[in-house]
Amino acid sequence: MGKLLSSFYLLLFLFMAGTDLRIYGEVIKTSFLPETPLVVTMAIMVLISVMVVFSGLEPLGRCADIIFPLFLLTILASLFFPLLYADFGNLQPVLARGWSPVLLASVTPTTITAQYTNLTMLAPSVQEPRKSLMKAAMWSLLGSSAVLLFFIIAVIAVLGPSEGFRATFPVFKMIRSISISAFLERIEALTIFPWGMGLFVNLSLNLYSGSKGLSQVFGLTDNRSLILPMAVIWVAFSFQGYKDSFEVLQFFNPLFHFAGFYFFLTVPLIVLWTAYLLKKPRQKQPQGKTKEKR
Amino acid sequence: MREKRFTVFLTSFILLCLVLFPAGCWDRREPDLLGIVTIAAFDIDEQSGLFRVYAQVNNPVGGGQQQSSGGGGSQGSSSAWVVETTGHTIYEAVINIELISSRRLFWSHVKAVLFSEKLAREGIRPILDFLDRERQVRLIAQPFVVQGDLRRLLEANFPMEVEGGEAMSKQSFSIMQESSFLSEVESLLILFRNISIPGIEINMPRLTVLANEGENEEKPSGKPNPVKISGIGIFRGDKLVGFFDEKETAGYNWLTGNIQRHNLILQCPGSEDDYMTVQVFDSSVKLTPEIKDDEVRFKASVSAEGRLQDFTCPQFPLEREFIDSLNRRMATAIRNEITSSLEKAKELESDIFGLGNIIYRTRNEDWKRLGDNWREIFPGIMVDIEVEAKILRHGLILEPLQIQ
Repeated sequence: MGKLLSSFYLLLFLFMAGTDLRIYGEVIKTSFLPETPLVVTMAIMVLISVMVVFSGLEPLGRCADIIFPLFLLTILASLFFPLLYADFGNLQPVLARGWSPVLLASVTPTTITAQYTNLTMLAPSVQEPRKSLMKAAMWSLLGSSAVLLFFIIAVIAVLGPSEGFRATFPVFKMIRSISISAFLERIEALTIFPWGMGLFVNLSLNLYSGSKGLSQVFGLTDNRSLILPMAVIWVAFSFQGYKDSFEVLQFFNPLFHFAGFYFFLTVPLIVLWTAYLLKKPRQKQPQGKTKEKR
Repeated sequence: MREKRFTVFLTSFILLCLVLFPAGCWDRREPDLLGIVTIAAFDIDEQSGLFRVYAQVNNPVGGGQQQSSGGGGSQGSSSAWVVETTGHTIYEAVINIELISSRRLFWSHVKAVLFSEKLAREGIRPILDFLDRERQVRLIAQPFVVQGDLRRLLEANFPMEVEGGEAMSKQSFSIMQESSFLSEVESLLILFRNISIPGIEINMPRLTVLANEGENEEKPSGKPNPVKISGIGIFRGDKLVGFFDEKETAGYNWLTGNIQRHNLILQCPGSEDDYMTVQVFDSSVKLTPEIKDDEVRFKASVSAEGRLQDFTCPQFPLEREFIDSLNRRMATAIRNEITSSLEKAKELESDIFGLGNIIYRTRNEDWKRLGDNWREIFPGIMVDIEVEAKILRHGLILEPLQIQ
């Protein structure tokens, strides 16, 4: 029974990672490399993740450590430059249609936060006290939510509410459509760069959690034999899971997330408790920080 | 040991293979296969109703400026090549260009987007969708509505500049810095922002083609500049309905708070034949709606600070009353500009000031009632204008020149 539940839950990793990967692929395909096959961009990304996960959890953590300052810098820069074009009056009127659309729309990001279930896979490998892990998780959640919030405010202020709503990739569009001065424009690398880096950490983490979890379900001692086949299935999933860009868009429809809301948030809670009960000490180096993209 | 050697060999082999890849993408397009478009212009064909797209492409073999080539002016020596095609959709027309162009056109560096007056009166929505959806064109390009012949404009040579797109953006940039004869719509971004929020109509800088039949005749000082950029085109929805001249545009800028520099020509108190110029260097505006049932009033308080640029009146008595009368004259001039602009906008039934948007933002309950027929309500609204104008500096001299 427990194993069945876990495999459901492992599907979540596959699903999230596959969707993230597909969205990334779509951005690259739509905006930069329209003629490169989608599978190439996605496979390259996954291949790097496979390399990292193969080396284990610590290299993954170190990668995140190296990436983080660069990530933060580019994120801040891409938030700062659009401010020159911002018209904060666009944020008005606040709550003109009441709370219901806001609450409905908040379902999607809440479900996406289910990615934090990755932590349950990391927790057994962390030697630091549980409290500091908790703290790191909370800070990263706070940080990523703040980044998301600031970007939404910036998009509304720069593009306007309906124009931002119409855009397929709002932040990307915002960055594209500003020119800081005659010699500094076309700075969209500032958003794509941290995105790619964040996605890399995210994907590797998902791959790690997925393979680790699966090896536990099947009672394997090493998760490495599972990584490559999983990666292949995963690319295939993100390729086949969505027929076209319209279906990818459907992913963000709040109604789609209502089912997931219960499944992805209540089930992991139960799994989390079982994970604590089944916790086995590992002979791994401590590595506490996890960085979430977006 | 052997194993290690093998690893070293394998790594170096892989690295050597990788060297092949940085040379470029497998489907690379070198710059010599691309024609860089600097101006995109859109028109509509009257007979067939098809869209007509013009592209001004940088000509790499052109010898920069064809300054004194006399009767030459052949395509080969011009710095730009102008191509036009038609199509049912914009993209069809764009693709049709490829058929008659030796190079693939590259639209990422479009500096200016021109709409002909005829097309603008029909509606610019199809073009806006193309500009928004297509990945090459960026919203940093500058939109203009053109009065006059597009082709003549695109083929015209700008004195002092090599390519037209650059010239136009330079020209409008300096106009924006020095006077208030253009609106704040300096990029497609602002155009899209304004068209997609409720209670505001769009406007676009107007570009008038000056080049006329005497274009080929050379003056000793070179050719005249082929365009004049001043005033704005007023839209209702996506359709052009009229134009604001310089004075009305200034009124628009007063009400929307976009005055950067503005010059007011005032008559001297006492002697009506003499004039002085006051340059406004700081201004602000506050618009407050007052809504009672269906009667909408706005209170506009404008404040402006200026300095004297020239002063040809016979006397400059250093008295409070005299200075106050100058200030009053300045205030009247500002009020006149605002009134004329409001009258024109009401006549065109186009709320380009975004007064409706102010209601939408701050008085949303009222907007729910008024919003649906705001276009009918707008011509009937009242705006109470309050102007506080001050001349703060008199320049390097005080007394006007006295000829003895």
